[in-house]
Formats: sequence, structure tokens, C-alpha cells
Amino acid sequence: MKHEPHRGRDYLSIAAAALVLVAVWKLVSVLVGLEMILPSPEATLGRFMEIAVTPSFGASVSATVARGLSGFGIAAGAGLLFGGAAGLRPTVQNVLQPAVTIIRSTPVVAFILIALIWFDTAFVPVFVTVLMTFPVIYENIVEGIRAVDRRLVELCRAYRVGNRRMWFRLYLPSLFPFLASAGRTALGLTWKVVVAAEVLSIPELGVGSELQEARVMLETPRVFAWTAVAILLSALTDLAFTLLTQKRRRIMARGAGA
Amino acid sequence: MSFTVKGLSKQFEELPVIQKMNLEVPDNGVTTLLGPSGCGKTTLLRTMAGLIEPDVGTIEGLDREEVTFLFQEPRLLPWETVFSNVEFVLPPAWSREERHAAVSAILADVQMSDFSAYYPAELSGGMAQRVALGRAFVYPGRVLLLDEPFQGLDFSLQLALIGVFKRLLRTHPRTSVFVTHSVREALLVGDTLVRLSERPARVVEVFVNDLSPQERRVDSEAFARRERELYRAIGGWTG
Repeated sequence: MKHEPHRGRDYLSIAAAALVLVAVWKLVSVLVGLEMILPSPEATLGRFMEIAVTPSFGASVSATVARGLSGFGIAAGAGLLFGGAAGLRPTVQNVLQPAVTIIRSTPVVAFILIALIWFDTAFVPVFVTVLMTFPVIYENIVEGIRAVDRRLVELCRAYRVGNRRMWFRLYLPSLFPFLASAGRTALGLTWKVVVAAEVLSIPELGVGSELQEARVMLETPRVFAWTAVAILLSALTDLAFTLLTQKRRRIMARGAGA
Repeated sequence: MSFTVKGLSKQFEELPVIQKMNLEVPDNGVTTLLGPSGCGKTTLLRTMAGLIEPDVGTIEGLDREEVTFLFQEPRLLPWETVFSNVEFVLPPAWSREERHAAVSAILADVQMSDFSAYYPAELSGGMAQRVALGRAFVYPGRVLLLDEPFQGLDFSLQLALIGVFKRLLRTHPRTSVFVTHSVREALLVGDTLVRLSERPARVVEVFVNDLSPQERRVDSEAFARRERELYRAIGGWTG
């Protein structure tokens, strides 16, 4: 009997583990006894329900989503372009290597602070997101292009298959697992980076701005509630990604286990 | 389309693989290049296909636009169906209807019509090589180069695929160059047999396969006799 489609995943034990986690949280919050230090799960949930119905909630969340997606979109475009070129031409990779290494090694707060000096507050999170997610996408594309089966490339040469057809029917499908993994990792990173940048740049609307405001007011339950919003954002995009790539993964896995 | 290999040499690093090779490939028959493993016959074939540039020498009279190549492995795109894999190599100028008709016809010829919607991972090795054979013949070239295409398969499958290959040749005539290290295979498919030396490859002898098409089968007396003679002439290396 095969377990399809989520092999090795037992939802019952995952749910049980989540419940245990909430129970531990509740227990510790009772022991601490101060909402300002550690709010209880129900206080956090209550706060979440309250802020979810305020008129500014939708505006803040969509501002953050818009920044995240535009940052991710720019990084994805640049990553595809530069990663594709570097994967095909080692010279391009050598030229880009120092820049990519520097970008990848720079602490996210350093980028935020530099961006704060250079740009308008609302653009800072977008800029930082581009810089933080670009290396992930770029490196996955380079690796993906290197992983394209040389024998299939040779087949294309032997049959004089044109560049366009080769790109769409050999390179892109070979890259698919690398694109999927790059996209998923980069999107997960996106929300963390956007919110961190918003906390420091405090644009008028944004999940990070709300977090900062709640912290300044010492409203810890609200800090927790907005944190939950950020976690939900991440979980939702991850789920969307899984659903989008499911069909393709099923085709690729077909017969592989037989 | 006949063509001529003239003074061809090729070495990799310091290792000479082909040395001053001269060879005539006659029009419309099967020329088998028979030589021991690692003697440079695959390199020669790749040079004919333009996948490798020779160090010196030329190949005259061969239009690369006419060449198709059958590799040792099927080399199918794992994410495309059998049908799409065959269609993949057709010239871009062909219309949708032309492509569809050509692919359907060739899949029927290699007895893979029932599997046209299957993915490569769902096929056995023999089935996948049938698809590759169909792909080699669907392309409208006049020259077909084959690099030990049936070696990975067990004996009965080899014979079956050789049968398919010969049948395809009757309906789709090609000037074929068939590389093999097996005397038996060379006698089964070859009209002209070219014996190559150990590396670096030189032509040792060229002879015409005098067995009639009816005799070119493993259960014929004449075939068995001819095969024995050839084994004696060559010595130890064949499989």
C-alpha cells in the first residue's frame, strides 16, 4: 500500500504536537503571570480577533504583501536573468561571484540601515527583500543549469534542435525543481525580511510598523498577535506554492518508484 | 548519400584515438564499424555527426542537415510523453498536422502506438529504445548514425530491435553507419563490414557481407558458418 500523496506525513501526530506546544505556552504564561511579559494563548487569539476586524488591518497586511511580492518579483526576474547567464557562461559567473558573495554575507540589518539612509521608508523593505532573496534564486538557477543532463543537450545538438525549443523543452523543465525550491525558500525569507525592514523603517502601513507600534506601547499581546499575522502570511504562501507545484511533481515522480 | 572520411585524426589530451583514418561510406546501405571496446569507433561516429571536431582530416560529401543519431541510451526527455519525445526532433517548419501524422505513423512502425501518452519512466529499456529508434527515423534525414544502440538490452530484445531497425530501413531508406563490437550484430545488420584495429583506430579490412537478407538471421546455417569464420579471423576481443 502506498501512502499518497503526502508520504510519511501523519497529520494526527502533527496536530497533537501543535496542541502540546500551545499547552506548554499556556503553562509558562500562567507561571509567569504577567501578560506584558508573556501573554497567554487565548489573550493572543483575542487580540488577533480584535485587530483582524479593524479597518487598518487589511491595509497594513496588503501593504506588507505588496512590498514582499514586488521585492520577490524583482529578485526572481534578476535571479533568472543573471543566474541563467552565469549557468551557461562560467565567465559571467566569475564576474558576478564577488558581488553575490558580499550580498549573501551582509547582515540584513546592515542593508536596512543603509537603505534607510538612501530611500523613502516605504521602499526600504522592498529594496532589502530584493537583496536578501536574489542570491537564493540566483544560486539555485546556476546550479539547476549545471544539472541539465549533458546527454540531452548533446541529443539536441545531434538533431539540430533550435535554441528556443531547447530552452522551453529541455532547460526550463530541468530547472523546475530548482525553481520550485528557490521560490519556496525565497518566499519564506521574504516575509521575515519585509517585516524586519518595516519594524525599523516604520512606513505608514505595514505589519512591521504595527509590531513596532505595539512594542513601543508595551502591548505585548498585540506584538504576539501581529507576529501571528506574519507567520500566517508565510504559511499561506507556502501552501499556495505546494498546490501550484503539485501537479508537476506528480508527473515527475510517476513510475519513478516502480 | 555516400560520403568519405579522409585522413582523419583525433586525440584526447595525449591519447591518440583515431589515426589517419580513410573510409568510404557507400550510399543507402548499412556500414558496420566493428572494433573492440574503446578503440575509437564511437569517437569516429561523433565526428561524423559534428559533435566532435577532428584534429586533422575531413569528412567529404556529408550534409550535416541530413544526419540523425541513435545513442547507446534512449535519451528521452523525462517530462514529456512518448509522443512529444518523438515530435521534439521534427523540423520547426512542419505544420501541426504534418507533425501529428508523422509521429503517429512512426510510433505504429515501432509498435509503440498504445504507449504514446506514457512517460519514459513508465517504459522498459526495450520500449524506450523503440521510441528512440522511432525518433531517429521520423526525422527526414538521409544519414543515420548508430552508436551500439542495442547493447544494453538482453539478447532476445536485441534481436527484436534489430528486426524493427531492418523493417524501418525498408520503408525509410537511410545511409547508415552502425558501430558495434559484436561480430554477430555486425553480420546481422551490415551490408559492408569495416574492421577497425585497437586504439588508435585504423581500418584493418573492409568487406561486403555476402549473406543474403534471408540468411542474415541467427538460426541460419550460412550465418553460423560466416560468424565462426569471422571470429577466427579476428581473435579474442569480440562479445
